[in-house]
Amino acid sequence: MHPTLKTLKIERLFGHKDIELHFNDVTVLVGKNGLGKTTLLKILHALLMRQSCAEISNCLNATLTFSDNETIDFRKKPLSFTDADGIEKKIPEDIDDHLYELSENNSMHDIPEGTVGYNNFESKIEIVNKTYLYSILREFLNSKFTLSDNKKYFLNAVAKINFISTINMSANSQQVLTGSDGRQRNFLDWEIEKEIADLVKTPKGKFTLLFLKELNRHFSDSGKKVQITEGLKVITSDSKNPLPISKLSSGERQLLYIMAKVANTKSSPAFLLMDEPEISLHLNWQEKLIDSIKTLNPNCQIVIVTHSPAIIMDGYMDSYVDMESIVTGGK
Amino acid sequence: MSDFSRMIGSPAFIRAYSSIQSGQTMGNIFVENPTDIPFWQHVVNAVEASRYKVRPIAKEKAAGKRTLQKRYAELNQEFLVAVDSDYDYLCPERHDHAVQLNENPFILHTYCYSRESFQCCHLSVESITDILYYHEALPSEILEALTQYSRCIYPALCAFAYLHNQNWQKYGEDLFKDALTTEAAACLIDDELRINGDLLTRLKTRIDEYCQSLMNDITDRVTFEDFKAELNRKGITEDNAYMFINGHCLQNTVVKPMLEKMVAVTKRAEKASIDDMYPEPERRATKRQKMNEIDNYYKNERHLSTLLSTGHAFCRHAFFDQIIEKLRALSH
Repeated sequence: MHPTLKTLKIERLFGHKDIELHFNDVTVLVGKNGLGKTTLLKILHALLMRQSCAEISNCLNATLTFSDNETIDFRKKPLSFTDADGIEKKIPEDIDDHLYELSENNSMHDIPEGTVGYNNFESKIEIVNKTYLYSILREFLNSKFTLSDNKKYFLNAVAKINFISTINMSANSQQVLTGSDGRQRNFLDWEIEKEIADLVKTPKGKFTLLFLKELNRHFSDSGKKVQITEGLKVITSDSKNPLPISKLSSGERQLLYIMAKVANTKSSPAFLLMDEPEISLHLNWQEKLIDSIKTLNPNCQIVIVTHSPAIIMDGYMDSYVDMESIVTGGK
Repeated sequence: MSDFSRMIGSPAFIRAYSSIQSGQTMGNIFVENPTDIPFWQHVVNAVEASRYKVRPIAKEKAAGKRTLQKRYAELNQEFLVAVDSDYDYLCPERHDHAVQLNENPFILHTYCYSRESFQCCHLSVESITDILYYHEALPSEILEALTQYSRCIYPALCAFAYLHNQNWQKYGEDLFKDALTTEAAACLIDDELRINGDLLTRLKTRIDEYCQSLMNDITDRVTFEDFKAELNRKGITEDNAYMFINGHCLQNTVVKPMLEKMVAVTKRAEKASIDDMYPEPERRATKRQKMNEIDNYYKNERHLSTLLSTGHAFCRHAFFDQIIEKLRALSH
């Protein structure tokens, strides 16, 4: 039995909110706008990934407890500097000083200043070293997260952690990218292609077949069928030619992306965090969403933020938690 | 109550939601878990199929019952719940949930222990035994055995229900269930498909002892007699008392063993008759084929769990009529 999420405690979010959330296998967070639902989801993601983000920086402490009672702790470190502006100034100054020293020690002296060669060399050093220095900085920030080696291994090598924001997905569907081959695609289509790449490679694989079955259960509503023959094809009842994914509706593409993302977890222990997955989906699809995810991966623990009752309407009325009921400290 | 909870239970929201979803204005009937849907769909179909949509409130039964109970106070004409009565109908004062189950017009309940009680009632068992043969039906006393069992437990049921109604924690369901349970692997009919008298006698002795221990705790006999009269008014009699023991227990320790015995005995007789029909060694292949036919028939066409869960002969039962009546009063 792999560890599952048990409790999330957040202290002094935005300086004044204490939150305690107990997880179920499926946890659906509801509540008015502005109560911090998405913030909570992002903090949970930050803890699981052990990566700082603006949201987690807004709380004093956060503790994620697993079913085996091991924890991931985030503690806001008290800084030795007293002047925050000073820190922000000091860090880039230190980086620039370091880069200057590096360039001085290198053979840049041999290249005439102002030439193309000089400028290329300087910017290359800057990029390489800034990336390195920022990674040190990130590591410093990440050191605020404490957890056992055992849990690190579980999260890095065993569990699959996915965060899906439908709002971002919707925005990505409006972002047009031009590839090096000159092809124009929107960002969401590119993400979908990336997600289905593995599934397409194994058309008879267990997880691919499950993915197709589950997707087609939904798509049959609109007379469409997805199949894999030399790539993923969408067959419609009124056309002999398969539709490209880009011609699917936003709801269909969104569902395809979510299903592919879950299918790719391949029954591994997984944590799926979803922000407003209902956007663009018909009520029938919203009602069946959690069941479909559970069919694709029964080991997937789900945390959803939503405004839509349809998400819980078909068997998950015992799974929703109102944000107002988990704020235990001052509001 | 949170805004979200208030919203999902409001009649206006439910009507609008169903209109958007299906183009029809429907109410919701929430049941404990998905396995309860077929039973309650029979109830809805018997009144007006398009008036209510039957939905599971949870995926798991125990969580489902708790979640439904939390909603009792918020129910309305568009937001009904449907639950197993357990002992809430028999013991209406045992706790607050029981009081609500009996008084709230928006709570549909089974009027017997659970939907499994319906699936094991005389009507359901008879509808199964009527088709539980391949070549030739054998006479059996399965229905009489069920009646005998019911009469045997009736006094204990009355005493238990009376005390349980007064103190449900002290007089717990588990003790009652244990006292009524037949011995492991025991069957109320024998290899002749006749009533297993020895078992019934042993069972009666055990149940009488348990019943006596309960009777010793009943000091106010007048109130007890009133309570029994009230049970009788509710339709609980010697002959249907078995529908008020734990439904799974009834199914797994009383009814299913009898049906299994019936299959085994009937199958054995049918195979013996094939044996007699094809004595010649040269017809061994035909004989084997006929034997396989019998095995496959019982395996594929007469799967007992499926017959028990898919039958609907109970729709003619008086308790089922009571459910229909309650729903009909709400439907318009």
